[in-house]
Amino acid sequence: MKFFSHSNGHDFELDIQPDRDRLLIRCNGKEMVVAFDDQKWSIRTAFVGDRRLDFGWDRRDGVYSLHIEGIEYEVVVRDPKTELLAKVVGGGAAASSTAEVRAPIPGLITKVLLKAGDAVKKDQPVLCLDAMKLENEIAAPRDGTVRSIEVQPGQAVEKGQSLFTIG
Amino acid sequence: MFRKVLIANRGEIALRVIRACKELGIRTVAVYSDADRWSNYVSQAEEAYAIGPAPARESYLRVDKILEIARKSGAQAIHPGYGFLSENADFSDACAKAKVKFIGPGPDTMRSVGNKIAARKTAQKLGVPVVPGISGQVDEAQVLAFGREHGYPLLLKAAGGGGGKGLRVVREEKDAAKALREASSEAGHAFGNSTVFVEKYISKPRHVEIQVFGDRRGNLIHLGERECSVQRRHQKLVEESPSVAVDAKLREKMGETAKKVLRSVKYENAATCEFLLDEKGNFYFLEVNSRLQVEHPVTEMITGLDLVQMQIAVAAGEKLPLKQDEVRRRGHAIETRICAEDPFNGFAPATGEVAAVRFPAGPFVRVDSDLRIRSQVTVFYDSLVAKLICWAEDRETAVDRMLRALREFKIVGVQTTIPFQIQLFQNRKFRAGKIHTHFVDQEFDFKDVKADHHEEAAILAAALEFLRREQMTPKYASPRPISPWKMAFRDDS
Repeated sequence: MKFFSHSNGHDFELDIQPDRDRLLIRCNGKEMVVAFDDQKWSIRTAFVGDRRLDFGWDRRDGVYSLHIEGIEYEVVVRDPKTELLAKVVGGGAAASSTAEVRAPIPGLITKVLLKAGDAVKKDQPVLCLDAMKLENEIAAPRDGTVRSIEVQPGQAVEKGQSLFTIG
Repeated sequence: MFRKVLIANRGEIALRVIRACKELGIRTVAVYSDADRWSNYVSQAEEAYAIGPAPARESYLRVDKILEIARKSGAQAIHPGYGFLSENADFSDACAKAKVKFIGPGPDTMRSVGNKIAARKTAQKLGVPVVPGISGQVDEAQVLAFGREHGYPLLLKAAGGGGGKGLRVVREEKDAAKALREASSEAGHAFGNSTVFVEKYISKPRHVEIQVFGDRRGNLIHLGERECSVQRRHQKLVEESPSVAVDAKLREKMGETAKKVLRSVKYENAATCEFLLDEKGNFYFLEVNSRLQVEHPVTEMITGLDLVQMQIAVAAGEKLPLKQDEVRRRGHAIETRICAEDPFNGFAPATGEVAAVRFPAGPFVRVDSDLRIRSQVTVFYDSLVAKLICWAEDRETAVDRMLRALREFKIVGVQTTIPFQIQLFQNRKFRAGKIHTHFVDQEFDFKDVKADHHEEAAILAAALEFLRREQMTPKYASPRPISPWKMAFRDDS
């Protein structure tokens, strides 16, 4: 079975075949044998080749979180069909004329300076995000019109949450 | 002794106080904000009450609501933990009015030590050394005179100060005039206030603090020092005792100095007296913290005393359980603060749901944490998620134990500072004890190794997805039989 894995800008193409109780995996052309323990928990052990990995994992909204040696990795796994779809949609979004601005860090929205329909210049502050005891102005990435503002003052936002869209 | 105590705090420190109470047979009352309803400490307390929405000013800082719950639940005393209301004299006042014992010093004592400038003056009056300086606009002649009296280097700093603007280190007399002009002009531009203060510059200072305890009868003891020099942007990261820079004689001297300051205000309950220690062994009074400190376990580990239980007993009117000459210190204890922050991304706060936790264990390892599976880490509160404390007979063994425990520690789903700490405890300068308050910011080079495991992460995620789709029951099988002897000697990292 073919998969595509994406970990923060690192892309991998994989082919996975079961072989009794192990998996034969080809990752970007490299072949290896992978075996898992039978734990049902979120902390497990696997052998990737002869390298033993003690890892933590979670899956939410279809995205895998892998925890290896103290570090969190977010991995998107897609089969060929969804990969193709994502490419089309992703490419479409990039080519279209809207720009979605997301929260760079989690924090609290303190001020919203503009509203939908307002004209905006590049680098003009659109809202203020209070995080790490500092107020950060979040500015428009380019000239345009504010299409929508997704947050309100007083609202807590997660990292990566959509804040506003410039069209 | 009290029969019921309310804990006006959350997270690990609420749990710490609950544990102390339970061992004393005291019933506990927890309070929680909407964000903390399912927290571990809430389920550990005998009673728990909601106090409002997630933001602290609408919940943990609401004096009225907390006192209302104390009345309703019949709590006889309130432990404030650290942070929030712990150094709020008005809260201490309000408790007294409501006839609930505040576990800490009285409001007047708290006020007299809480004001930094007043505390500095009190210390000076008692003949306690403070960092020499002039807190007022200085001109060139005054700076030169100050330099002649106290020696170079000097530090010029803007009264409106912050962020390194209007800050100048003057190494020699000939540079003083120019530095003063620059600092003053820079301060004027940055803060609209060109006032510049002068003080003696202490290069590579250590942060050393003394734990003091007083009871209602005027007995006062000190429990020795904690060194907290390893800080990142003024946030303590590592605390230990003893300090490599403090010998028995200096400990005695600093301890008696701290007691002198606190005796002058008739201090009752736990206090910490903070000092700067220079390279020559001179110490300077900084301030008094009139609460339990985050790093109190370090002192507990080497003295064998439960500081929270002592706080409760003293607040209930009991005498201190030991005299100064009965204080025993043994071995070396280190604490490190594990925070939900991403060291690979400028220590930006990390939030989310904890998918799994595995606490380290084994001999002389202590974890103070409120985390459990499905805990939510939010932006509303401090990023501290766990304190890891290790004890050993000597510092080197304690550091090795710390490294071992950190590698065992797993918090899955939220990025923590553990990878940073693993590098820190391997650092040669740290291991040699050559630390000072600028060590992390200026000398420690954190290596961003994040790129290393993307491939493994991608492979594991795809394999887990495959298994999920196949509904295959995975079984343990090593691809090649590996000798357990070989595994035993394989380096985990």
